Amino acid sequence: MEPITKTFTQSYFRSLFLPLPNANSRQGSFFPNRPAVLGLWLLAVVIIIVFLGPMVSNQMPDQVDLSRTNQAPSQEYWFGTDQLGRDLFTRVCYGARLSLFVALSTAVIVSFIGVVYGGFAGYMGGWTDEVLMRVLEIIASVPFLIYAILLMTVLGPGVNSLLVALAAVYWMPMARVVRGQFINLKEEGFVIAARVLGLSRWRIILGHIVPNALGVIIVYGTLVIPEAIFAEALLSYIGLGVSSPQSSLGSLVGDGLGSIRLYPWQLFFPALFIILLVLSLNLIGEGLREYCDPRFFRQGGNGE
Amino acid sequence: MLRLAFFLLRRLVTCILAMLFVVTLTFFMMKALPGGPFSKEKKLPPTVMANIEEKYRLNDPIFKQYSDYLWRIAKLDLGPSFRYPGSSVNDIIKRSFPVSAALGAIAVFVALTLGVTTGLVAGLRPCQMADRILVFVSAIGFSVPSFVLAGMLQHFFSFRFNLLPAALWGSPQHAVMPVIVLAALPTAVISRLVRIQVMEVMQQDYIIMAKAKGLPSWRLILFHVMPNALQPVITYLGPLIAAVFTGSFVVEHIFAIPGLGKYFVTSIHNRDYTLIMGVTIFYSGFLMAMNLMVDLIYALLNPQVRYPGWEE
Amino acid sequence: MLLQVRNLEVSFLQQGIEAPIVKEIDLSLEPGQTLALIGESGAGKTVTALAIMGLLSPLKTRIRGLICFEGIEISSLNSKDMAKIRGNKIGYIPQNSTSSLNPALPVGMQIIEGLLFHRKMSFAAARELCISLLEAIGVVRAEQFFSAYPHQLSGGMRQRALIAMALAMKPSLLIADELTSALDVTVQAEVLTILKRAQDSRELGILLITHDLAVAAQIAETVAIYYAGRIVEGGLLKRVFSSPRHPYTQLLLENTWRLEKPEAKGTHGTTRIIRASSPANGIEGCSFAPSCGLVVSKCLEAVPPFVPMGLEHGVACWQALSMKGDRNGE
Repeated sequence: MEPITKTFTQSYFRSLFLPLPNANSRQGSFFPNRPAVLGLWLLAVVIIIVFLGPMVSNQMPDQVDLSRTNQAPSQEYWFGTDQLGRDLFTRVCYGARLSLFVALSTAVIVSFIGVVYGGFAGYMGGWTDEVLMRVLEIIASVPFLIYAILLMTVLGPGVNSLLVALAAVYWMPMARVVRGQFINLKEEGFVIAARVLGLSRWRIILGHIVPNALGVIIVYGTLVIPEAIFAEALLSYIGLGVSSPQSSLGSLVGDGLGSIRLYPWQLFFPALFIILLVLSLNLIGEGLREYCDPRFFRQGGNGE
Repeated sequence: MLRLAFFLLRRLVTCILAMLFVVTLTFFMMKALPGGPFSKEKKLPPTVMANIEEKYRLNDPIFKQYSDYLWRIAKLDLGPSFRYPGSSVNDIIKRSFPVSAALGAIAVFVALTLGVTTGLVAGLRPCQMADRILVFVSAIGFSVPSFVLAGMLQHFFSFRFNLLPAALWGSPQHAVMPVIVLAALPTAVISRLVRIQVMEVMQQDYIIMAKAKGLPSWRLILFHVMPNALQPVITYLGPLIAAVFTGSFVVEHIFAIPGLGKYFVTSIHNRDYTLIMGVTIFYSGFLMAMNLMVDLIYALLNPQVRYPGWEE
Repeated sequence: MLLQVRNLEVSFLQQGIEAPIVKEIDLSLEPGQTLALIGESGAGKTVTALAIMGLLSPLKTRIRGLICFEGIEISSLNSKDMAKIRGNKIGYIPQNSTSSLNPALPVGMQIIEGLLFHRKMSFAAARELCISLLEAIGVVRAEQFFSAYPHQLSGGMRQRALIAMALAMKPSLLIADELTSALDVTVQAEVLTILKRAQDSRELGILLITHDLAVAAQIAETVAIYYAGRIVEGGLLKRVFSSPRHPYTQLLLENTWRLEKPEAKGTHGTTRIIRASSPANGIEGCSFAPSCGLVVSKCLEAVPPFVPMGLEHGVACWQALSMKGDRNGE
């Protein structure tokens, strides 16, 4: 609005009053962002434990042994055992794998639906865009947990239903973001040039627009993962998620809560893994967002 | 003013359509379920079954059922409960929602005051001790699911040290843990939002101007920082209320609080479909009404919406 | 003496290192007079003004030197006492009228805020005073203006709101930062008239910050020319403008003059490009030397001191000094 009056010095003076130390050094680079690096390390550690742990522990996740129920953590059973005598460490590892699988798949499905729906709306524009976005607005105004619970009630428990329900919830913000990207990119010179060259619509979309929107899609896809872990855990806790004999971190926490009075470790270990997983993914997601979307982090004072 | 009216009208229409969507979804999903609501009691003789189906009109053609259902909902009648014979869904809501509402209101209040104060403290002095601690704590707050937090609190405060009652509802002590659990995540979100906003506002020229007027810092914060920094918080109020009230499903279940959320989770376990439908519709309607109210508040508090310019 | 600045030095702290922004600033202003600080952007004018008002964050800046206002040394006051002087006795009109008004408060409220707080006036009395002030500075429909929000006003109107904000307290010193640069020429003239009238009606001292020599010539009695954080020439405006001694001042005046009289263009030959002044360019000696056409070896060795050149006129330039010395020797 005021490009002429706003000089560099002015914003320089402005930044004197409350500058953000380190803000500039962090902006635009992923690796100097210490929280994100910490997140990466944490995630790496969790994944190594989860995938290599069961080989070392030499237990099966659903091997019932009523002679060793509810044991406290020991050298043999690192996280103790549950009320059916199953080794909790192995169960937590398998549960975390399932949670990770559900969350990752959700992110992939969501990205796909989001790109198709949002991309179509954004690229077509006009009337199509208006209708698609109104529909999205209507669905999005349903409280999301209620929506997910409703779907899970009908679909019944299980991994597939979980994927459907989570995708049904989380595709909407992704579609909005992708639509915005498409609308911006559509007006870029290289897209107009491609159109002038007479390339087909799909060629333009797949070859020119999607690659440029990919950064943002990946960032939002990453941000979906911890949310999906949360939601999956919640649904499994209510009893709507995965069902026995499968277990996810959420159902393990649910079981642990039932026997918290006597065997608190049955809650603590699965809980710890949820927290570590979500924390690390959040840190990485935030780091990626700052890296890819400097506008979001441009609090340093220069620029609108 | 016209623009504001148009905006609110559009939101209202969206909400009504969304309600219709929810009602239709609930209805057809419940109809599509394998096995009717009484499939648990397989021993029922066919005559009794027929009686029940007659009573709950399960034999009418589906569109008749649907239109009847819509009409009933429009009259705010959510129908009978399958599992609690003798009490309608409306009765159950009437009985239990005040508890949920009280819990939710306290949690919203706590989250707002705590989130705004901590965000303000951190945002006014960024990257100092208080700010760093806050950023760290909120990062943890973002990563702990409510039921995990609930379990931990129960373990330490009730079973280990016996400071607070582990469950049930009634005295202020009973409310402490549920409120902490419900308010934790929203507090982290608000505090972060306020922090960023305050940092942004503190760099504006009008803050320098206010300082140049020699105003004391309380006046500066109250009149110049807060009104501008808190506007995005108002837009977050809608999601906040939704998060707290849907969060209370689990929290009420864990702490055995006789609120609507506990009934809801129990009804899911019991497959009490009319209750699930009724509560879903009720919560959707309630949260959408709250959202509309928040939109109205935002419009009324924002001078740029309230008074469009004379010039320009 | 209304305002006296002696040997002011302001440095910004960057990662523990002090980067000087302005150095060896000496200013003085009598009541009822106008002092213009002239220089390109980045020369340190605004920093000087903010330092006088004590608005630079102590965490980010170091201020050395003496600032006296009405005989009180304000540079050593604590922030609470300083807040009483700021706004109350010193009015400030910032450079950017769009972003300097709080979008969430009616402008009237922002204007009378100081009255309510410093003077403990009632709201009604303050409103009355504000409306009469607004009318005096040429606002029509002042009552409506009072309750308007900033986004409803045009640029000129916002500027008036800021002027009213500064004048409402009846300060004895007014600091106007690039008051007119964002305004149309017609509005510019009006605004200057408003200031002049306010100055005449009471003994208001004005510190005018500008890069526009014409504006300075219209209103100021004394002038200080800034270059790269130092005052290179200063004194009575008439003397400085009629016989500039510093090459930078000469260049400024030349350019202005040439703009106003295009036919004179040919006589001055080549246009010299002035390198943007940067205070921390690490060059020893005169910071104007790289752009100066009259460099002697001394210019690259030592910073020229600010030396009086006759009555009410001083300059910091080796060349000018040597010429003075020559003349004294004759």
